Amino acid sequence: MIRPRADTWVVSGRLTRLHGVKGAMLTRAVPASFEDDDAVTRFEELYRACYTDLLGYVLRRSESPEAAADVVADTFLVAWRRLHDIPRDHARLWLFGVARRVLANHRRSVRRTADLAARLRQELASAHRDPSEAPDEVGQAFDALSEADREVLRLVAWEELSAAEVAVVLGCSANAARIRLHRARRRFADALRQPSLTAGEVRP
Amino acid sequence: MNEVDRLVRMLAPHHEVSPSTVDAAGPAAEQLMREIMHQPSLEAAPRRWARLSPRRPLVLAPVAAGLAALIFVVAALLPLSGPGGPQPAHALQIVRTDGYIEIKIVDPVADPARYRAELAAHDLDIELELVPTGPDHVGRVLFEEVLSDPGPAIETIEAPGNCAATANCSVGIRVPVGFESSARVVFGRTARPGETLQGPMPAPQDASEDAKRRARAVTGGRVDDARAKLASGPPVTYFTSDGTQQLKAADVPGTWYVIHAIAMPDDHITLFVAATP
Repeated sequence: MIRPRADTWVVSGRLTRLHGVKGAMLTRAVPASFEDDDAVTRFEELYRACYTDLLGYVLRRSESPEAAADVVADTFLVAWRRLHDIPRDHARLWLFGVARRVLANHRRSVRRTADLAARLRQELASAHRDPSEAPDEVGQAFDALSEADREVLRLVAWEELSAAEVAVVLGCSANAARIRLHRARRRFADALRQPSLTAGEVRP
Repeated sequence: MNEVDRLVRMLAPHHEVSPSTVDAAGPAAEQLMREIMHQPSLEAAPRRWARLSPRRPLVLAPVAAGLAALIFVVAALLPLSGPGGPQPAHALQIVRTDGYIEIKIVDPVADPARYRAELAAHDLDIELELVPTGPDHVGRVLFEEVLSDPGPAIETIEAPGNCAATANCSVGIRVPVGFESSARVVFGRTARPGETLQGPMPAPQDASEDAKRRARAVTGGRVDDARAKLASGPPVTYFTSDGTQQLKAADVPGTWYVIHAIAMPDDHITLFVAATP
């Protein structure tokens, strides 16, 4: 069942920006609890601080909302198992990086974990995906890019990350992230100018 | 934000999702968090899990709940080895056989620490977990993961003729003597009231009474006889009697036996067959 719009949150780039701010603030608050040796407390804080942002990140990249539930579950399962590996200042970005790899694995293979996310999947089954606002030509130009280029552009435009934050997600240096971003933007601009795209239809 | 970024932003999919689903304090998020924290944390010794082996997905129909429930009952009745009369209650039945240690669940609601302790007594580093599941998967192995260390693998104990709707016929695990790696195995248990089921979901509907009657009519007989009786119905599917392999009809001799037969939700019949009765 799709709930009426008045009773829904639109998990979009705009809302993500809102959550991004909130998530970043909470993520910065997390290190205080990292002083605590209690893994349960640490994980709960991490989970609650990052759940909404991670769900948004995964939803925007999943083939279906139901599939997003499994990716969110697998990502947090990795976090639970590697709690001490999570950088204190970048928990949210670290989770994005894990989710990126989990997404790739899910596209390649069948379900990998016990069914932890049954309820979340059930609830997301009723999620309604609105069509993109962008002209078709923009989508075609974007699809013509490599996945690496697309992801670096998404991280900046959808998650509103800085180049330094993109570097954390991708596991590279900030300088490398800036170069990747620059090149991806240039290639996207080039793709938008391809003859196959009807001139004038890509409105600024 | 430059123009390129603005265009990329326009490509972001929008989802309308219930606020309670998006809320980290909502019931779905809370339940997922609890489920994850119920999983073994590998903090103490970070490991690389190499082989992830979820049991076969749901492809067939539900089987009688009584069969699955029987597994625990039978296991509970089996004598436990050891001198000195009655043993204290064990959470697991652990039996050393020819080159293997066979493990079945005795107490499906025991504290996981008890499973671990009993397995550790046999020098086994195995995390064993029970999750609530549908009646046809109670007592069955739902999930296994084993470390990448080289060496013998864990096998499942299959019970031909006692198969769930998913062709999952497992009733325990068989660990080779000398298994030095680590593993995690998830069994299904009966759900408590209000618990969310895990593992393969029940089929959306049951088979018709007529299809169930036809399945019963061919159980125990020869494949030739089953084919004659089922000729007027939907196509029949075949599995080996332990449910591990689907067979082409042409590869199943008529002289073989139908060890078990299940009526599917769409009323077609699945036969579990073997060369000997």
